Amino acid sequence: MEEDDKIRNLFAGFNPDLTPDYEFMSGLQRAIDAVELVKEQNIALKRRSRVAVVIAALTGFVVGVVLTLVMSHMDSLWISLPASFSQYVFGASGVDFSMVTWIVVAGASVLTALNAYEIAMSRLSLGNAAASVASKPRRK
Amino acid sequence: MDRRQFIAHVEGVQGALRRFLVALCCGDSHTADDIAQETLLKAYLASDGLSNTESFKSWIYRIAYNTFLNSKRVVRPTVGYEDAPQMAASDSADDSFRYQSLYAALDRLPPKERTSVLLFYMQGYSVKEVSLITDASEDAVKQHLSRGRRHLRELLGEE
Repeated sequence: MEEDDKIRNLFAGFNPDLTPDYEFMSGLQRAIDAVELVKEQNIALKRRSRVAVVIAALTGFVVGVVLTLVMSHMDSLWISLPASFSQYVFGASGVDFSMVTWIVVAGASVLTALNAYEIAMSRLSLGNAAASVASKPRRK
Repeated sequence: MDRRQFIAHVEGVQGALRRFLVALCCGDSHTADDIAQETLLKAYLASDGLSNTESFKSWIYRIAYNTFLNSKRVVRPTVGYEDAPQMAASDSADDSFRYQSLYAALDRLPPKERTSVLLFYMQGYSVKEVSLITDASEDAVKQHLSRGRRHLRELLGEE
């Protein structure tokens, strides 16, 4: 117990010089401000991504529907190809042109959707940047 | 816990936390402040998950202890000898001299013993609370305290 008291007394008077409290706290506030900024940007990015996904899905769906409606004309397009070209592209064995058409429709829909996502993300980012610049006061 | 509440809690504990970290870092106040800033930032990021604000102080000390251990694993760049003349004398030079023997003795203790001794004798935590902060068993904490006491007695008794 006596030894415990000796050690407690050793630390009781321990009062090292520290940087002023206001300096420490203002440093902490700046660090928290930076964290909050990153959090806000992450939330904004997630929101933009959700909107872009919806736009991409709708675009892909519309393209798919349109191409499906013109599918019958695409079948006749393959048939009208020269025989030598058909053999070169599709091989010597007989090919199910409707399968080829579905593949083209699916591929075009997916590519359109992907491009729509990229364009939507870049346009939404530009819009966000323009809005933040517009909200800052101009220096005279 | 929102930002305003968090800052209010921090203002109540930051002084004691920084003194604890200075002792834990054996007088290196710059490193202690760096660890304190990192601790409080981690605490802020995790503050949404804190349900019991009464245990805020011990929770902060637990984060501080883990941050201190992580900092020991990182190799810190040192200033070359040729740069020493250009470095201004620190205001804390007198302070380091004042507690020189204490820092030297604490530096000789292993980190776990040093932490247990500081939390128990300096911060006034119980053995159970120290075990929760350091994530060790109560028996292990008692051993650390016993060894720490003996080492400090030997080291400071030599002065």
